[in-house]
Amino acid sequence: MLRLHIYLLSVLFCVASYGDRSIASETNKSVNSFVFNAGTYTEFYNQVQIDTTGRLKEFDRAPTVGFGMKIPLKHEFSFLPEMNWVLPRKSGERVVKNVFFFRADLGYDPMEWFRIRGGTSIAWLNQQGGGGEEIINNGNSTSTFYYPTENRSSFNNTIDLGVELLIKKISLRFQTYTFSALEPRRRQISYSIFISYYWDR
Amino acid sequence: MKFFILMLFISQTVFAWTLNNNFTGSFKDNRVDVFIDEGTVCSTNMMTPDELQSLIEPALDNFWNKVPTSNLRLKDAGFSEHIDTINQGRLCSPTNETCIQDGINAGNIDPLKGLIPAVNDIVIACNSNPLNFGGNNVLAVTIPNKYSGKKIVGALILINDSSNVFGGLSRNDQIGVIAHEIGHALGLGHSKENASLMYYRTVEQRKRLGQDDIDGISFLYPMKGDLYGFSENGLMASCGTISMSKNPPPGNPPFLPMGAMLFLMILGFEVFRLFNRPKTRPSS
Repeated sequence: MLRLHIYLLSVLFCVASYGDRSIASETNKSVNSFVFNAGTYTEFYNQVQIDTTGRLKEFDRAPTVGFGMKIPLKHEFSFLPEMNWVLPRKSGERVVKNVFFFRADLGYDPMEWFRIRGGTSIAWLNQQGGGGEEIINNGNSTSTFYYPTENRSSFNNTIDLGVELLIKKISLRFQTYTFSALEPRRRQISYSIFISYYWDR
Repeated sequence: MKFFILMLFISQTVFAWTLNNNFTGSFKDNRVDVFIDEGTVCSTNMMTPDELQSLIEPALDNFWNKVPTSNLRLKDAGFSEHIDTINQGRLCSPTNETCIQDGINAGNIDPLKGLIPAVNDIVIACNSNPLNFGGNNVLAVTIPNKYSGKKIVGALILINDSSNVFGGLSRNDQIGVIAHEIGHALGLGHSKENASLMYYRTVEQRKRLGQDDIDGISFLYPMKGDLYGFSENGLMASCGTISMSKNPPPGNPPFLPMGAMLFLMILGFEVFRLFNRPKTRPSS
């Protein structure tokens, strides 16, 4: 099972290379478009408390940008590697949080204007502490609490599904990322909404 | 249109998690057991050890064990061997010499009111010594009281049994309080965000962790590649340390690794394209 992620990525690349040969003779291009994304990222849908009444987060405006490619395969399939970056969020210069996704999707276009995407990502959460301390309420009095001084990262493998509406060179995409898919207790779904621009080579 | 773009780029996420020590102390192992002292007495709060123990599993599974970006695995481990001083004794931070001396002195007069010894993992008990709490309305205190270097080895959570405030809470609030104290035991400090579990007081309704709690626990116990949840130390485990540098300037994202991976991705595809060029045939 240690090789599962590498195996999945390999399968996607093999499919890409097989399809590419047949398409390449028609188009003379392996990468036929570069894709630029902008959108939002919502982390852990319905699992993060956002107020004192117990309301849970359904949507977050965390701005996200990305860059990718479209490699046509046989029939209506395409291989869609990309990288997305949830722009830094910070609080008082103390801790800065970045999230990156390194993604590989297989796309299927049942219609000219519609694409279904399935794939996998490495999700990289990076937090950088700026150090320092702060006096915060501690019940009957106050106490000093501390901000970290280090830089640490978490890496997760996610299973991703998405749908995309294509209008000429622009597309609107809803993309989900399932964290800990094989561990029900920890399984969480995050999602992005993207507007993408396809720049044809 | 301008409004839409502006709203898009203003994140509503605010986070301000803190640590309860200045050296980023956390448990060395990501697997931490949570015990109830088997001889604890919660007479003022009118709770049996079994009732107290029944709060542990939801406190772990509804909160700290639900974070996929953290490799922390907390386990409801049942009851631990009874510590004589746990019900009335003095709980002190290992660095608080005055408190330790007071505890030793009190123990010379009444052994049951002496210093509570250091523990392994996390131990929860009721305690009726008012000196451990800042006042009657303080629900509980937590002190990681055993360290190995900068790593926490054990922490004690004491429920305030000198008043009946904890026993008067709803079961959901009691679970929230236990989960909050476990957060301290793991190394987290208070958050200023009232949506966070690590906010200093109970809130109207506590259902899940807040964003601060998730980010804080992911920082202290980061996941190093989970293979879709199959392994807690999978794909990236061989990379060893997760610390990239000791004191990076805040606000500076890791452009170098990001750029390097992007470059490798593009390079890979260009090489791939080169080797898959269609053969040109002479026209007849």
